[in-house]
This record gives sequence, C-alpha cells and structure tokens, in this order.
Amino acid sequence: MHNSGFSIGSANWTIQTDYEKVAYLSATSSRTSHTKAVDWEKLKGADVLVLTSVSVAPERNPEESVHMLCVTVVETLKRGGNVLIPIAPTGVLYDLLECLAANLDQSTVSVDTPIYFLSPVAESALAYANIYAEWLSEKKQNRVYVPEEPFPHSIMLKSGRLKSFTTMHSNFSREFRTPCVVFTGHPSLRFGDAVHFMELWGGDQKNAVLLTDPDYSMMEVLAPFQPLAMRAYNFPIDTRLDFGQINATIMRELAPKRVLLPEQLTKPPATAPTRTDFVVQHSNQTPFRVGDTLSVASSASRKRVRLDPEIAKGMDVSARGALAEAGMCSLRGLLSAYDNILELKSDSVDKENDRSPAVRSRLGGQLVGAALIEALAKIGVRAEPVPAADQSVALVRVPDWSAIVAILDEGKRSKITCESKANRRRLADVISTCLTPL
Amino acid sequence: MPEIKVVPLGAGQDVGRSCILVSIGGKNVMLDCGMHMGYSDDRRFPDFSYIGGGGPLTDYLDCVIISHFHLDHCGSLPHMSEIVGYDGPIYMTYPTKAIAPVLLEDYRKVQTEFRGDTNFFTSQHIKQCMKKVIGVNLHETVDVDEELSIRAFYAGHVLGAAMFEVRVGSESILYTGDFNMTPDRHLGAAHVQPDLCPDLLISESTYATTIRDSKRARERDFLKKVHDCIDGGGKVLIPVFALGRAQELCILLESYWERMDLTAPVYFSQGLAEKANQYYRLFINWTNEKIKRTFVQRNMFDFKHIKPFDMTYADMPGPMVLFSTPGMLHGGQSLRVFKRWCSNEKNMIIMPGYCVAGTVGHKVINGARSVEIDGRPVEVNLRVEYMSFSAHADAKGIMQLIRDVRPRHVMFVHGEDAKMEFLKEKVEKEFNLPVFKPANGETVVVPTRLDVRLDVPVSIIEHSLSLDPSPSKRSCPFRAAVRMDRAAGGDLEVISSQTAADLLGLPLHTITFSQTVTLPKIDWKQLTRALRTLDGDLQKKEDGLEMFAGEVTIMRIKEASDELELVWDEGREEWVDLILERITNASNSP
Repeated sequence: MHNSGFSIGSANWTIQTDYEKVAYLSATSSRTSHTKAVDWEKLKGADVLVLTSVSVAPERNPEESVHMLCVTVVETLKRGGNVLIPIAPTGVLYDLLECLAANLDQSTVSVDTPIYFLSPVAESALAYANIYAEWLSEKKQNRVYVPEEPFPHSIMLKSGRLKSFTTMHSNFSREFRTPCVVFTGHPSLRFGDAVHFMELWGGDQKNAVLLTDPDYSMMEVLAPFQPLAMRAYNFPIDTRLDFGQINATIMRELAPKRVLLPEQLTKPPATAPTRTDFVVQHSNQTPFRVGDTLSVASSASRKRVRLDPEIAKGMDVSARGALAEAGMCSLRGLLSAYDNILELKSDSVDKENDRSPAVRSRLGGQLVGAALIEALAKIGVRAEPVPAADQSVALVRVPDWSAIVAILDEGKRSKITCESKANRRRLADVISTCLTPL
Repeated sequence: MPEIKVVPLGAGQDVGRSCILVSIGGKNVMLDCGMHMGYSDDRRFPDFSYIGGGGPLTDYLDCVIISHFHLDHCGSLPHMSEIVGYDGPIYMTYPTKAIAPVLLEDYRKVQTEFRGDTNFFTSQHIKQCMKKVIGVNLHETVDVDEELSIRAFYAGHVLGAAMFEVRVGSESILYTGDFNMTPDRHLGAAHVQPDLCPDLLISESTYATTIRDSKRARERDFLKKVHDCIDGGGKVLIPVFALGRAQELCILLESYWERMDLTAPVYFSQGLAEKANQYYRLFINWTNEKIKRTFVQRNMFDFKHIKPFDMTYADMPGPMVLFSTPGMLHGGQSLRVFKRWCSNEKNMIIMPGYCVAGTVGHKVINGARSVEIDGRPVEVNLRVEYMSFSAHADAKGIMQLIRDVRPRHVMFVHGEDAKMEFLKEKVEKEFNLPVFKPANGETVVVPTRLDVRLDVPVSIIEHSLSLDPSPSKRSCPFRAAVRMDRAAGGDLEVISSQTAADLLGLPLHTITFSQTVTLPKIDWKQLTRALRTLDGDLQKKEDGLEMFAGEVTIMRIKEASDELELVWDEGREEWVDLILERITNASNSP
C-alpha cells in the first residue's frame, strides 16, 4: 500500500511475488494539497500496471479553477450577493475552506461574512480531517507536534466564521445571515439542501452558483432550474493525474512493462474528440471494458524455493568428470508447496519414520546385463541371463526375488517385473549401483 | 549458522533506562534509549561508549527505534543524538514523536532548575534531536535500507506505544517495549499479527509475577480510598505522569464524582494537562473504539469536575484531590506538594504506578517514615497506598503474547531479576522455549535458521508436484541437479536431471516397474473415463493407455483378454495404488 496523494486514506497498491510485480494506480494526485505526497518509488518497474483513474477535466487546470473560484466568491460578496457551492462533504472542501479564508482576508469583504457548511455529516467530516495526521502533508503534519489542529477550519469554527449544520431545517434558519457562502450537497443539484438554495437564490442575478465537481456537466446540472437569473460558473477541480502528467513523466518514470487500462483512456474523450493528446500512450497496452476478464500470462519461468539447511549443507558443487569448468551436484528431497510456500525438505527425516520412500537421484548411463548380475552376486543374490525373443532386449532373471529385469532401449531403460514391492525396491537399489547418480 | 546478538545496555534485569542493542543480519539496531530516574550521575544514561567500541555511533548503528514516550524509554535520546552524536534515522510512532519532546523538556527543566544540573542537554538539543525522527504508522512496513525493515504494532500501555518487528531477510525479532494485554478506559489492548514467528521475542516483564486481580475490584478499591479520605477532610495526592495513566484515572474519577455528586475539588497540574488532552484529541485514532466512536459529539478528555491546579491551592483548608506531575516524586510539583502534606496523618498519597529504586516515591512505598527532601529529613505521617494502575502486561498477558506470536526464543528485559526467573521457568516449562534474561552488558546469542533460497525452473517444480498424488502437496519427490558455473561468477543454477545427464555426456537411465493386473473383463471406455480423473491429459494409444506423458502405461497383453500390464516409472510409485484402485473399480462396476 502506498500513498496516492489524492485524499486522506487514498492509496495505490502493489502485489508482488519473487519475480513479478503488479501495480494498481488508482486516483492519484501529485499536486499540492492537504494530503501526504504521493509515493512513486514502490510502483516503479512493474510487470503490469493497472491504470484506472485519470482526470476527467483534462482541459482545466485545478489550481487555476481554485484561484478563479476564490476571486469569483470575493466579487459576488462585494456585490452583496450570496454564493452557493454544491460540493461533496470531504476532500477538496478542506482545501477550498483554507484558500477561501485566506482570499477573503486579503479582500475588503467583511470578516463577519459567514461561511456555512450544511451536511448531515458536516461535523464529523470536519473533525475526522484533523485526526489523521499521518495522511496529511508534511506542513500539516508538523502542526500536530505543536500541538495544534492540522486544518485551520477548526479555528474558523471556534471563531464562528465557519458554521456547520446538519440541514437547513436545523438551527441554521435562526443563524442564517446574508450575504454568505454556503457549501452543501449534493453536487448533482438533484437532492440535498443545494436544491433549496437554488430555488431561494436562483431568481437574483446578484447571487452565484459555483460548480466544482468534474463528474457533472454544468449544462445538465442546471437544466431544470432554467431560466436562471443567478450567475453560474463552472470551475471543475479534478486533482487526479492528467494525460500530460501521465504521458510526459509518470509512464517514463514508472516504466511499466505492460499497462492495463479502461478502453475510454485509449481514445480522445467525447467532449474533445480532436485532442489526440488526451489518451494514454504506452507501447504495450491492453484496454478492457466493464465485466471483462483479462488473463495476463505469467512471465516468470522460475520460482524461489527455500532449502532445508540440511540439504544446503550437503551440497558439494565441485567439478566432476568432463566438466572441469562447472561444478555440479544432485539436488533431491521432498518438495512442499503447502500454503504456497515452496520448501525443499531433506528426505532423511521421513526415512526414519518410513512414511515416504527416500528420493533417489535420477541415474545416468547404460545398464549392461552382465554388470547387473555381477552386482547382485556381490550381495549374494543369484541371477542369470535369459535368452529373449527380441534381440534388442536383454533379460535377467533373479529367482531368489522371483523377479525379471528387462533391459530395453540400449540399456537406457530397465523394467522390473516383480510382485513384491520390497523386492522391487531392492532390485532398483542394485541397479542404481551400476549407474552414475546425477 | 547465522545468529542474532543482543546486548542490553539498560533494562537488563532492571526496570528503567531501557536500551537494547541488536545485531541482526549484519545490521545494528538500538531499541529504545531511556534514562534511569533513580540516578542523577552518569549511571542515568546507558553507556554509549560501549557501542561499536567507542567509534562514531552513526557509522555503527543503522537505526534507533523508540517504543513509546516514557522517559525510561526515550529520556537519553537527546543526549545520545546531540551530545554523544548520532545522525542516523530514529523511528517512533506519530503520537510518540509529538509527545516525547514535551516530556523531555519537562524532565530537562526538573533536572536543571530544581536540581541545578548544568551538564545536561538543552531545549535546542531536544529540537535538533526530534528533527532526526521519522514517524511510523501502525502495521506499515518501513524499509530502513535495502535489507532492514521495521513494522509497528499496537501495544496499549500509553498513547502511541508500539511493539516493533525488526526484520532482515528471514531473520526477525519482535520488541514489545511496554505493553498491555487488557483494554482499559481509554486505550485498547496490544495487538500483534498472530503467527509472526520471530526468531526472538524481547518482552518486558515489569509485572512478571503478578497476576493482577480484576480491574473492577482494583478501581472500586481506589475510589473507596479516595472517598474515605476526603470524607475525613484529608487531601489526596496522586503523583502521575502527565500522559498515560493520568487520563485513565481522570476518566475514572470524573465519572465517580458525577455519579456520587461529590463537591470536593479535583485538580490536575496545570499546563501539561491541557496540552496532554489536546494530544489525545489529535491522536484519537490511537485510543480505544468507544472513544473513537463518540469523539465528534463528546470528547472524553473534556472534564467537568477536574480543574487546573495552582500552587497556592495547596495550603487551602478542606479536602481535595490532586493529580500532580511527575509520577515518581522525584522532583517538581509532586515533591513540593508532598513536602507540605506529608506530615498530616489525615492526608493520603496514592502511588498509581511503578517507582524506580532511589526515588522518593520508592522510599515512601517501602514504608519509610522519614525521607530526605532537599537535604532535610521530612516526617512521613500520611497514609500511603500503592495501587498498580500502570498498564503493563502481567504474567498471564506475557504468556498470551508468546502463545500468539510463537517466537523461537524469548528474552526478558525491563523487570526485576527474581521475578524474571520465575517467569522464565514458567515459559520454559509451558512452551519449551529457550529463555534468556541477560544483565546489562551481557551478550545473548540466538542462533537462527540458515536461509538458502534457490531459483528453480517452474517446469521442474510442476513435475515434482505432479509426482505426489496427495492434494496437500507436502512431500513431493524432487529430483534435479545444481550447476555452478565458475566462469559465470559462481552462481548456482538449478537444472533438470536430463540437462545434467547431457552435460555429463551420459544417457538418462529410467528404472520402471511392471505388474500384471487380472480383471474379470476389460472395458477400455470405462477404464479411460476412470483414469482421466487422475490425469486429464491421458492419451489413448493403439495397444493401451498412456498417463503422465508416458510415465505410466497400461497395455493389453496380446494373448490374454482379461490381463493388463501396468508399467510405471520409479518416480510414479506413489500413484500406483490409486491407479490400481481405479482400474479395479472400473471393471467391477456395471
């Protein structure tokens, strides 16, 4: 989990194995705001980058929007008009309150001009912002060490400049003074207290409504209130990464090997079909649609296996035979993949309990019937060659163990026919002594 | 074998001056940097000259971790970083980072103004020291460098207290700092990710032998004593640290005053208290669920009955209750008030926490009837009550933690030797774990497991897994070879047996086993269906079936119509019984 700088608690994620990394880049902002700076480091060099959230108002610079908004508020108040800002109760609001207060202080607008924040969660939204210092920008974070509250809105609340209410039907009607600034929901202007304020102020051209949510188009939002005497402004504030940032710096710095992204981001937006720069540019990208299942082939050809210290100690990679340059030794044991943890255990542990057979190395070399008979004779077991019908097969009979060994494929294969499991194993052991373990 | 080395510079078989050096995987970490409040000479600080043979600390230490803001855990930090000199990273949680400098400043004032100590760190030192501190959030893995990472877990005890996991590769330790396993009025219980399995658990053991009675009973006892005393017209002095237990007791007393409708005034040392409550407000996330849930409507730390104290109130007639700082009667307001109240037997002092040996508090608890304050003996007549409210885990809590995290070794610090011995025996008996309790300066060496990892081609792993028919895949026969190419820098490469044979210029020899199966009748279709459940890629051949890419074959015997020959590679031995069972079942079913 890595800070994404978009809001309090917003994060980008990486899923990592020994060999592969998948990064999920969600709503991310590299602009200065109240949030902690975005953490890019861990997202670098991913095999797959999933990109989902990009600014939907790419033609508007959010800093400029905020500036224009503050200027417009000051102008409207000076004119004696009221300002309505339909907005979501968290996020951008915190920055707007701070900027607006600073701008009002510098203007000739009376400091007594009230700012109202109406929302069922107004009180909590303001209180919660102050208790997550670890998610805030360094400047804000340092305030808690003083100790002071990180956001100035708590001071504004104390001084009475900012007042919060659950709805306009509460004590608000008693406190309500104009001209004023009202922050309230919902930004769609279809429900919430914002609708009442539109009705109340819509008829007077001194008043102004300022839309900031980039997800709603101004035309559609205001349509039911037309004709509207009140002035309407659109200052979309979308702090998410825009195409310029993504193509110019992010893609180059993160250098993902492959990008998965929604189809919409691969072609210019409907509102600006000619802007071919409003697409994500990456040489290896896979678009997806809602409901699609994407399979991404694993590029890893190896997996990391943990070795039992016993095995690691027993490894002797000294040069062998024809391979003077490179040492080689066998690696054998019992592999456990339980809980998806790969671990190679020594087989000697199980040998004692006789649960599992010892794991024999694979063998190299060609088996010759005479050698097998000799090896058996050494341990006192009688064996004799048997003439076979097929010339390419050599047969050895071991009457003591009632078994027959067929040597096939020029000695590269031996077939033991025997009813007793124990005798089969014993014969295989003897065969292994005639050959080179790998 | 790799090993972890641990040396306590403080808190070894002792309470106070926590400072533990850990060498793990070639990294050196200092856990806590506390001071001893029982001493006012050089012994109050850990012996930093021990570290790295007296060389610069920055070169030797990779990082310093502070578990919480109590002075016996962070009191020497400015001394170490500014006077001895250390410029590396210092980690602590956000609340600790906020509160520690306040307590350090408070402590500095007591030392320099009341004691006249001149050879001491300054306010500037504290400020510079705090600049080197990096804030850590709970459960966040912080990479100190490429190999060393640390992670904090909630420890209860006081606001912002944390346990720290220190990890280098596969080796890890868990340091508890001070912790509390039972939730209280304003803090939650310590919570560690279960099954952390550290190589070493370094645990505090302040209350190693006590299994404390029920909290409710203790609290009732406390309230009764306070009530009795003020009914008798006495004054109650409760020396506390500004942050921590003080808030817990304030909440307790506040609700009691409310319920009983008492009028006797309750005071709290001025200044620090308001600041303390402000910290609690800002770090409400670190308190318990109940306070978090209600903090928007009602702040638990805005007290109605508890008012700030002024020194002139001390001589006012009539009963009163005073929460005064500091907690161990080692100086400041607590000691001044104590001096005025201690001769009157109507008064009472309640010591709600541990007192370090050598402090006035410690002497008073131990029943001294006369103590020396400012060089003059003072008679102690007031009632003395010692009630442990400090939020440490008791023996039960420590055992619980060990059960939860399942360490490979345990080490006790921050406790008294005799008590540790008791707990050590208990842990050794119950968990069969090696337990250490080193004295200061004594090195403990903990062996860790050798960690060797090899990169194995997926094809070899897949084949190995397919050799074991059991779904748990715990013991799959694995055969391969390791090749070390000297020319390529001595890297180890895992290769298949086939490749190994090719390199040696040998053919690969396969041992197979064969068995004849006699069946009442042979229905190939049914047989195929039955065996496909074992191997989806089963192949039909002219004269039989081939499973697992030819590693098992089932062939008809030419002359006989009721006999099959089953041939399998040695490695497929485990599957044979299963295959035989399927074959028999398939031919028996209609």
